[in-house]
Amino acid sequence: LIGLRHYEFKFEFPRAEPPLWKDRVSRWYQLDAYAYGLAEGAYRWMEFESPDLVILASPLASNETDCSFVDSGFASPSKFAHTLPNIRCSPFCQVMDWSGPVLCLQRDPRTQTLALVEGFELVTSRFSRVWILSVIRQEFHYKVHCLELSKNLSGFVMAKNKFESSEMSTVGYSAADDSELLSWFDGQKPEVKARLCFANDGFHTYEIRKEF
Amino acid sequence: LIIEGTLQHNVAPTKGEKVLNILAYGCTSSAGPTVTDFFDGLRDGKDHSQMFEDPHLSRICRWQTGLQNLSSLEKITTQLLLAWNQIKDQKIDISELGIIFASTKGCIEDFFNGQTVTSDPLTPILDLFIKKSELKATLSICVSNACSSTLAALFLAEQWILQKRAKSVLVLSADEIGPFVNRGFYSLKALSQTKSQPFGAHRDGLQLGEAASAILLGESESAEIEIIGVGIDTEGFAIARPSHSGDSLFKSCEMAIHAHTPDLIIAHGTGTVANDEVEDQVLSRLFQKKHVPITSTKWSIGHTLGASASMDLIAACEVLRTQNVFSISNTEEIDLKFQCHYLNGKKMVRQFQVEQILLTSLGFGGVHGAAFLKRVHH
Repeated sequence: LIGLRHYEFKFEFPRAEPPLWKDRVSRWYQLDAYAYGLAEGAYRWMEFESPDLVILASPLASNETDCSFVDSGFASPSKFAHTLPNIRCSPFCQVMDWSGPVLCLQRDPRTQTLALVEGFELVTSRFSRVWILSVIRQEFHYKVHCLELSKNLSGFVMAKNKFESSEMSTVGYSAADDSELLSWFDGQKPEVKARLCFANDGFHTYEIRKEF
Repeated sequence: LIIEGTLQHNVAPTKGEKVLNILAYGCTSSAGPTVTDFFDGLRDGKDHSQMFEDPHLSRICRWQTGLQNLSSLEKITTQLLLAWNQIKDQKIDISELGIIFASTKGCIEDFFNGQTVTSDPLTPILDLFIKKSELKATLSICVSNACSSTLAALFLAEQWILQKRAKSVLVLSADEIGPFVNRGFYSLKALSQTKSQPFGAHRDGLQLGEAASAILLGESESAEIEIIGVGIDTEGFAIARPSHSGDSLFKSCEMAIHAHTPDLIIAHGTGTVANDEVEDQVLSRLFQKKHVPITSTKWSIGHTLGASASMDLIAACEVLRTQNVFSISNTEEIDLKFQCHYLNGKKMVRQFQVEQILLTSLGFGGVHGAAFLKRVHH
């Protein structure tokens, strides 16, 4: 069993005021919303025990910034720099004063779900603490998510089981995509509060439940 | 700029001499649709760049195909299938297969043709490749770690095999150079106005290139190439250039080499002022006065972005197999500030014993990587 915690916060972008971490990131005013969100997350969570691997799960990659670069007439180098989805991790590292391995993963519409699976497997086999970071655009704001995995964490627990097709139909429900995973954490589906199961490779299921 | 002292790993090093093999590989590039085309170009000192349609932009190393009318999705998938077909013919057991697709921008060029975008730009390529190749993948995912994407994919593939979640892993890598990418690099003023001259005194930037590759990894007693180690690291210094100290690249190399000394280094060698400077500093610091020879591939096929480390990996396999070492042919005069031993100039092929090769990779956002390969004697 692996311990799991979920942190999140909303923010609006662009912001009128300079951020509290402005002295830690050079040219902070050129960051896109996603890089800004992760830098803000790093500032809020910098007192936590540091991860030894970060997975950057990027649903829709950098599509929003890509459009913005095209709209600039392909002329803005600072916008182009943010058209790589891994770039947003740089200000995160600058604010946290952290360096280490980062995997930037994509597999829409299951980017965060599969990143969670990879995080679970990496904590099981080799790393002691993994953070899975995402920034999601919602209608009028953005939301930053951090899923922290470690063997000694209280909160939720995550486990891997052999695939039993009968179990999938009777326990919780199958998270087909990221929106179901996030809504489970948000508690928006009261009928499935207790457990969340989802399949990955056809041989195993992964299960998250609240630790009582 | 040299930093004294020993760096500490912030992750446990992997278990020494593990056995992860490269079972087979295939590629397509501006040199042609096979590995032989690519390696012959390196040995013959051939720069495959051509002038792009827009004279304000740079020279580009384009795929030699008649696929111009296809969408990016179809074009890149076709190139990946061509690379895969070079492996498929070798009839290797691929049960319990994982597939990882490494790329920076995937089929981004399609996203501005009026289509509704509901996905990241990499997943459609991976899905179409799986469908057309009819491969049964138990695991599949996309990795987008800038120009170190392939080494990050290799790192993940190694984990899948060690975790026994896959018996073999197919690492696919590809990037296309369309208007989006080309104009982007133009806006950064990163493109060479002359020719790519990695580590040269007169280097003035990179030239972009297109490539696709397929590399099959697994465990096999009969394989000829072994991966000793893969290291990746990300630093928080700046978005578009590596730190002056190069600590993060240094850490990646340390993780990969496990205190061994390579016989040859295939360096990232973009030909930009800042990147080459940091690489020279890190490699001289790592190997001090051992004078390990260094070469690179980007002068021949361009900087193929997410596929660049895969092309370096294939070049390394071919050097280990043939014992023919290619030079950095475009570079006539090495930067006098540099301390390492570069193989440059028109002496095309050198022959000396090469048993172990180190590859390095630097990416935007401070994502760096290294891999260490060894020839297996049977």
